Amino acid sequence: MNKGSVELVGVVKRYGDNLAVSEINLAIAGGSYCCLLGPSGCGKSTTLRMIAGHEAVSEGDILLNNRNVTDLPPRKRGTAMMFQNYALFPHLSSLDNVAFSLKIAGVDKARRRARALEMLQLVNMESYADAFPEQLSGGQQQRVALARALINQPEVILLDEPLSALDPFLRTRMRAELKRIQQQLGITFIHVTHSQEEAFALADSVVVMNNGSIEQIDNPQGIFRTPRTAFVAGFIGGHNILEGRLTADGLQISDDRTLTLPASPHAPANIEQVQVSLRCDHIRVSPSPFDAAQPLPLQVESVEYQGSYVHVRTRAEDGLQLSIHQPDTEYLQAPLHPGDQAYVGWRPDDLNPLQQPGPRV
Amino acid sequence: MASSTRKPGFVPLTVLFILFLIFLYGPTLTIGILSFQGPNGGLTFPMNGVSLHWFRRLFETQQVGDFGGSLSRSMLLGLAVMLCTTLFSLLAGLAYRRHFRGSTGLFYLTLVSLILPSILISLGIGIMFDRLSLAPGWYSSAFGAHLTWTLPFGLLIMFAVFNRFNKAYEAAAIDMGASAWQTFRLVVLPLILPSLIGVGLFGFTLSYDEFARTLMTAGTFNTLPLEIYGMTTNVTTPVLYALGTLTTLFSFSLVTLALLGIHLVRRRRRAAALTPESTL
Repeated sequence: MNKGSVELVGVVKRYGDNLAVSEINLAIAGGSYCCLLGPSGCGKSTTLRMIAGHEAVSEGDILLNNRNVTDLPPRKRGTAMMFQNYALFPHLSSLDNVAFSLKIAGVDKARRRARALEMLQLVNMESYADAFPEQLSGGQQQRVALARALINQPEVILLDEPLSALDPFLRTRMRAELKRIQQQLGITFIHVTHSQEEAFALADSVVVMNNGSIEQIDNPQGIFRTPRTAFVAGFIGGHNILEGRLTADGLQISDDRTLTLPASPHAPANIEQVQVSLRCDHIRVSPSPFDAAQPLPLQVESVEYQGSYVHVRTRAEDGLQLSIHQPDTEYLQAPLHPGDQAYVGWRPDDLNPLQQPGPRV
Repeated sequence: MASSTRKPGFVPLTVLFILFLIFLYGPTLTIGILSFQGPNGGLTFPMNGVSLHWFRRLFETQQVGDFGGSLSRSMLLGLAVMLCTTLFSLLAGLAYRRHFRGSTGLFYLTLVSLILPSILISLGIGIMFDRLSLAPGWYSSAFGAHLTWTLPFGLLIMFAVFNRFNKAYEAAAIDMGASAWQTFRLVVLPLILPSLIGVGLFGFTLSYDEFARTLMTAGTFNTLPLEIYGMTTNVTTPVLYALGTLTTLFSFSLVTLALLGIHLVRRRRRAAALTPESTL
């Protein structure tokens, strides 16, 4: 792997008897943008801090550029961390914040200031060199924090929820900025977030974590098109999760309803109870029957207009519940209302078999 | 006027608060006014003319009492207590950021000296010095007695300071290669400096006007509060009030200077920052 590659081998983190991270294996290619995605407490931030060296590893090894850094202090690793809320030193100006690590390294004042100014230029903050953090907006603080992390030419930048302190509008802008700088410098970014939107927008590879383990590693398309577990499908949203018994005809959801499964080599075999995911925007819905529609209609429970699509929630008497994202043009042609009968249909290929959490097959 | 939106408790509570303020500052103001008593005036109202007579008298040799000596002793003692309180509170505060064996027990032991009546501590230290055949003095036994009072306060303030301290600052410094000492010197110390100055001023004022803990420990030479108390029974002129006014002014100017210093530093920072066109 090229410069800036990160590898975690059997990494475990315990706090007393609590398992925060349970034996994760992860390889991140050098120069890539990787997002650790998961709910709070899933172990993503702990994993990031272990890579940074701010948290001791209980078991396993961390490799940077194929060099074992498990027991090295943060500065000796070639990583730089950008903290949540940025942790800019309030008593130092932007310039001195950025120049801090050079001061520690013993670089003379003129040279470190010149270098810090260069970094501020990279993030378009050179005109705020003398401003103190309290005088900067959230987005400006973030730029300074990024410049501070970049000044030592790290091979890996670690970002802990870098956009969570910003308002939604700024978040989108800073997201693009992060991606631009990552591509310009060609260094590895590891970015912790709980927003799938952020991860999808930024990442070359998304690592979905839950309960201290990795549920799935894939590019954003892979994660969204073929979520591996029910947790992933549920967390990223936009998916229905259907559960039933596997029979010769397909997936039997109830006595009256059996869904045809795709002829896939990945289809689970010899398992009685299985789960599949079905994308909300891959379900066709209509007030009248159509080819390939399910024979039994469902009842519309709610209809929410969302702009480009309409969120229709339906339920059948046998307990089947489906969330559907109907394109708004279709909706306007034949609007559905709560209480209406709705016919639904999809292609068998759209049923994505889910696996039980655990080691990948 | 927003009187229509006032809650029913507003008027009685305001009256109560004003009464409290009068109770708090009334005595000081009374003494302040009486210290400007005319040359023939007495210790009580009415004012018999207005003059600076008693302030002048203050700097002349007194029949009883030793202002100059007791004042300089109190100042020296206050400064020594201030330095020790600041240093040890800081060190103890840093120690208590981590759990160490016996930390809870030590904390309660520290609190005990806040809870015990001052006069008992003073008495105890006096007796202890006597038992050990040591002569009590304002620079030894009284110094120790004052520290039993200021150190717990200083420690409690440091608890509050470090409770609010964002540990990410230290993690960021370490991430950038700073050693533990560099992290302390370049990040932690500058950030808690205003609080440390506060602890110092607090230590000074607590020591400067401490009476009970000095009473049995001062030895031969009196500190200012003891001297003033001694004089209340002997001196029958408003020179006493002049002294009170002067020392109060001194304390006030100390606090004002500290606040002014903080304000100036803030203003200098703000002025240093440019106000360029927004990039965001």
